[in-house]
Amino acid sequence: MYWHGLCSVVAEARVVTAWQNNKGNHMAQPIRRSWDARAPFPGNRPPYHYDPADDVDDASAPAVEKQQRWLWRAISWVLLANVFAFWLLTCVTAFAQTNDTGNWTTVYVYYSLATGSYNYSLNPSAGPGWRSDGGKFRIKADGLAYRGQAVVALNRLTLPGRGRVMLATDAGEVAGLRAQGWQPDGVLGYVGAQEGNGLVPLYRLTHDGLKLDVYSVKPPSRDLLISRFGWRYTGVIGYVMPAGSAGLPAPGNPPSLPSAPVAAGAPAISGFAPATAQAGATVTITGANFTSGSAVKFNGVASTGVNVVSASSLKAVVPSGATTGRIVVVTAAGSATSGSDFVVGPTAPASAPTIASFAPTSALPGSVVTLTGSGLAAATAVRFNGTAAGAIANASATSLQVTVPTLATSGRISLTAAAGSATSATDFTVIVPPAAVDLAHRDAARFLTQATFGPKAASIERVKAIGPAAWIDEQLARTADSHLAYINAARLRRTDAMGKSSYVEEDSYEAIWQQWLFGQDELRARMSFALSEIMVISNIAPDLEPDAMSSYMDTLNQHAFGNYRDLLGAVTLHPAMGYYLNMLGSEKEDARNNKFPNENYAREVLQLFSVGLYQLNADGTRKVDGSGAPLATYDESVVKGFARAFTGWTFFGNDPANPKKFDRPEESWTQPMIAFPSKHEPGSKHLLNGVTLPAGQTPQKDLQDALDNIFNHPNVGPFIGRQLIQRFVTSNPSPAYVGRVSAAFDNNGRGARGDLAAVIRAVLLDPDARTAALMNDARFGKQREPVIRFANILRAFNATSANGRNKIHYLDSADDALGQSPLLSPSVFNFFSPSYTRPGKLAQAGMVAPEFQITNEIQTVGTANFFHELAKREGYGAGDSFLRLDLATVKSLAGNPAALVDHLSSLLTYGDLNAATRQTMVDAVGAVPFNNKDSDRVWRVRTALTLFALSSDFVIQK
Amino acid sequence: MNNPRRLFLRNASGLLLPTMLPAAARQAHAQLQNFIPLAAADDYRALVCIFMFGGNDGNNLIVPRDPADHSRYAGPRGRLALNRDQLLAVRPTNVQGREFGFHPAMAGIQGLFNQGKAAVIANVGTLAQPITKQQYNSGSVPRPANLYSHSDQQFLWNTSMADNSVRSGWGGRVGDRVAALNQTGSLTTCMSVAGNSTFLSGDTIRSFPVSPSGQFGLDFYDSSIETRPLSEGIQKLLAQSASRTGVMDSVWLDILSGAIVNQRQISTALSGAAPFTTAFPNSGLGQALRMVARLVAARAAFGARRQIFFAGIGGFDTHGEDQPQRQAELLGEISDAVAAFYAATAELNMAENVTTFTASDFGRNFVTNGKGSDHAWGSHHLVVGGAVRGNAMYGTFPSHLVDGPDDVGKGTWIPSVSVDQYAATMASWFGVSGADLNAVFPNLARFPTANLGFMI
Repeated sequence: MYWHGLCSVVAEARVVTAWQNNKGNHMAQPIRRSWDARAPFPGNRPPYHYDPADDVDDASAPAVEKQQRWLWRAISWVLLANVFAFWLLTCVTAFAQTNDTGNWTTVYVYYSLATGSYNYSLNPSAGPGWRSDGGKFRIKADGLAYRGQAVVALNRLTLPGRGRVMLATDAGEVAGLRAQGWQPDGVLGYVGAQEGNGLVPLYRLTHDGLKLDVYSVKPPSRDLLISRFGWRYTGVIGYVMPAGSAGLPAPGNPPSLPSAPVAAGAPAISGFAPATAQAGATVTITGANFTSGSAVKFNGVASTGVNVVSASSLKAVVPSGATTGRIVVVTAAGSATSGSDFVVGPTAPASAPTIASFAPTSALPGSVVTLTGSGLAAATAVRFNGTAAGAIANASATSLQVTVPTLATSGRISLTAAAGSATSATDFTVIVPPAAVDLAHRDAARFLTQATFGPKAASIERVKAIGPAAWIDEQLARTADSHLAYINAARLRRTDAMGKSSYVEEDSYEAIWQQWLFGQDELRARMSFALSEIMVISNIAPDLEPDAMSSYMDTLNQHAFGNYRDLLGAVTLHPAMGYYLNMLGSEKEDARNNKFPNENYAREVLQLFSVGLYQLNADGTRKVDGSGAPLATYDESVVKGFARAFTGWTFFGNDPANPKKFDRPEESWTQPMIAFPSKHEPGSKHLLNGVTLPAGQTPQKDLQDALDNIFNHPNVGPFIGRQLIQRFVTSNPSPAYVGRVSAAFDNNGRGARGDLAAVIRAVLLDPDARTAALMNDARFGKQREPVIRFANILRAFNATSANGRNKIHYLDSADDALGQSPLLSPSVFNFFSPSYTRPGKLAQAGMVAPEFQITNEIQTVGTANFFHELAKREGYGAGDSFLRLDLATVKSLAGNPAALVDHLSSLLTYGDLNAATRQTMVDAVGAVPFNNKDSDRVWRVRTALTLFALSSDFVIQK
Repeated sequence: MNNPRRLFLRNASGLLLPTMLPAAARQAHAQLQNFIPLAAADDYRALVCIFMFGGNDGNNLIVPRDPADHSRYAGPRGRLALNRDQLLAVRPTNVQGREFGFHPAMAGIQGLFNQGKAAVIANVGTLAQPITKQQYNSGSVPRPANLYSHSDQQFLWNTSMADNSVRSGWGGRVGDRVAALNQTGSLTTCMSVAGNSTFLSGDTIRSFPVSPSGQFGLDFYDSSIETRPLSEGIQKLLAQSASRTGVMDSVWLDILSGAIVNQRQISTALSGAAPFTTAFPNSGLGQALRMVARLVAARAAFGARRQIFFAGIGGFDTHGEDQPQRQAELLGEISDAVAAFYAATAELNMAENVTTFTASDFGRNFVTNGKGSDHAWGSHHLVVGGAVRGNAMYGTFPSHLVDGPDDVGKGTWIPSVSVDQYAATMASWFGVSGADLNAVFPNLARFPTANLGFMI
């Protein structure tokens, strides 16, 4: 029930936002009601409809109606004659363009000519009998602070049978109105508690004859109504954003203050507390229209000390000689009498208050909560999990009402009275107001999460501006910084006094992270990493030279968007691969001396880098024989054939004419290997698809033919395509999706096979990748690889170091790091297999989940500790290479848990966080004590960031 | 290259002292003090698998030492051949007096073998059913799926189902049937000190991984007012597993919550376990087996009577010049670690209750490729423990005849016994019998004997 309500709010907020983002497209579309399980929410229902039949018990109805209609016509005339083009709320509606990204919603103004009433609704389309006034203004949808300023709930109240609608922000006033029979109709949204930062006052005007309240944001229209049509000014109820403003005004540049109220309405009393006291005690009176200079009488005896706190609250000292009776407040505009007697007498012996219960037990900020218990009449303050509530209303010995403060967090309700304090036995849950999802931001951030090591603000703006396809085209043209150059520079820096220096493997890892964190080639970085997980080399065993590794990364970067055939050729001849899989130094068969071509590279290039073990259909499904068994792609003779074709190669720079150099070559780790014809197997080679290379070809010719034989095998498109989909988008792509990517591999649209640029376009622009609705599909998505999670967080917070470099080296420990580290895969089989599934839910669902192969109880705890440490240290590394997270913005939001969580969500989960996760995080952050100290901010941010790092919402990329 | 990251000494103390534990754990620890340890004679058995990832060249693990045999060995092995006088000599009691020698790095294993606490199972491998060279070549009898592929052969060794794509491991299937004997059920029945394990994934049971370093739990959990909201928030997130739409979301949350709960339980149990003084080598496998020994010592706290452990050692995927050196390092690591582990179980009075055995992707070609050796098939393995009929060799040692009757190419030995037989012999000792044995090893009946006789 509780979650149901919350989810409904989210759904609703999305609809409203969708409308805002597509002005005009959905104007006529009704918004589905989904809110009535809890407090009614005006945005989901037609504007309140006034039926004159409800008024039959009003004896004066005909005369009043006549008068109303006359007045109404006058107002309408004013409207239609357009004397003031912007009178009521129509102040600034000319600009359709809005470019603020906050969680704003628009309040629309409607009127009914039949009944002469006004209404205010979140619904952009008018219900039957209602017309748009054209007026609108914008308020916060989510209760979060606006540029640091507090917001208060804007409640709508209706008077049953009277067609009147009242907006109110003051808890005391809401309570007073409820006491008079007004029905709360939900919270429209949130308005500023003070002027400035682009907000303007929302004036309320009341017409006693019309029994109508209207609201204006423009002083001229306000004054016209007062001077010409008998309206009276009844206060500023909050501060709102003019509708349709061209953009948010700059902070700190408030518009001029409004002129002083022209006239004040008659006062009203809604309650007072305590109900009993002796002379000399102070009584707090709540109501409306109190003005400075108000006089207060206790049963006719004037108070000697009156302190007007606000228009809705004043304090008066009980005068000596006062007796039990009504309290009267007198202002220049009139007087008001309390509805019950104030009792002069000894206060009941003070007993400590108790809270027996409260209702409702969960609600949005701005809602009124009733506490029941004992000793409540003398309560002086109520706190929600430590956050002070506003004025106490309708206090009696056994109950009182308070409004949930805007920034309240879930937890105990506590209450203070002179005689003691009380705390509720159970938690009150502050329902986190729904966050409006910025769809444009979500779609861009989601795309970039798939395509890069994490969305950055500038990239998001770029994608929003030009779209994913054009962004990919831009990225294809960007080149990578050389990894080799990085390790050369690092080596130079380490030159000792003797002029000696050497490579260290750590430099090679740093070069990778430099590209991931700071490179402008964001897509290429991700692509070369993906390729490094298919065509794997690793420094776990055997040891590789640093320049070999960095040169290999340069090779992958160079060919990332080139042709797969060129990539395959470059990888095959790279000495790092040659050494890792033993093609380097593999020589022709010499049975007498027990020498045979080394099968290692031949086997793995087939099984892992290109075609795989089983024959595939174009959509990646396995071909089967008549009995349903999969068909092998090749047998041992083919492995041996390729091993023979790959013989005779060693390091660049050795003389092929000197066979001894083949056995003891000079090492060159950055140049493609070269062939020694004398070491090359001269016989024929049996390859894929029954092809046999003739005997006697040169090593170069055999190599080219062998690689062409692989390249042209129909398995390559689906085999590589499916793995790229898994690295970027989703672990379990549909056969159709694989088929489309595979088709792009087979033909880039211009007849070329193997164009990896076309393949990555197909992977990322496919409907299965881009359709946001798939985020809710149980099978869609993938685990973000641990190192990608780490990069995501570093990039989200613009981590930078003093020297511009990083110190990220070994993350492969599962105990206290990530269980994954680039270039440190356990074997050529990568960190995980594309077909790994985990027994249990995943296997039962028939799903694979490669990344879960390195996910276990040790590694999850290790990564949790790792990310907590990252949040605690606010960065990673050491010395001048310490990568510091920029947490200034996050910390500035620490006082507002929902704003903090929503900000992190926009950075890490596209601003579209699961509602239950969001509520949990807001509650957890809110439970961290907060007294506005720096240390409080640190703890709240650490809590929120750690929770994000562990949440499935972040870990599982959707 | 002595790279510090390849050592596993991350938490030198290893033991969690009671004073370091939070209050709840201290209380549990106090309760454990009252636990009466099981006597050695009590019903407890453990199997420990040591998987040699990458395919160990078993031809150099145990080598015929009689001069004629050795010379037939040395030729085809080329530069990989071990000198006769380097070999650590043993005389298995059941091979008509033939002399063999262990790899020179395996003095610990030689010692255990000579004490009768270790046996060699010769030429074990994956088999769908018995197969001859002629049948292999003609294709008249099915071969195991994807011979010579690392990933596939590892998988088949773990599942012991060479012709079938079941996804469960035989250790897990045994675990399914014995979990009820353990008070903590699936938590302690199958435990891995080498990460996720196919071997220990049963039809219902899953392995619980334990870090060899003894690093347990979230290090920021429940310690102060500021982190308590974080701990509670984590608990609430984890509790949402069932309500999440995404399968992966749910699985992720399950893993994390299992880790938090179970690691607390394990660290509490370990802190109350009987200490032992046996020193373990500071190697990856050494520390992993030390953790297994600690878990065995903590069996009383777990209420465990049948446990299967999985340990691993990687780096065997060599083909080149580095192979002899690399293999010597790795076999030395195994020998030292297993010797220490046996000593620790003896110290715990558990030597006869714990059996350790090796597994690997496949063997290597007897004939060198000139530098190292490539992927092959059957290979030799070790079984160690007080319940092993040691100082003996089981299965049939290969002919060492290149192109001989048991060679299907460059010294690719057709296995003399199948993984099924090897595994079933140990499972029988473990207590799996009758219909259960055939359920765990559905292909067992295809082979001439279900029990190779190397267990008491």
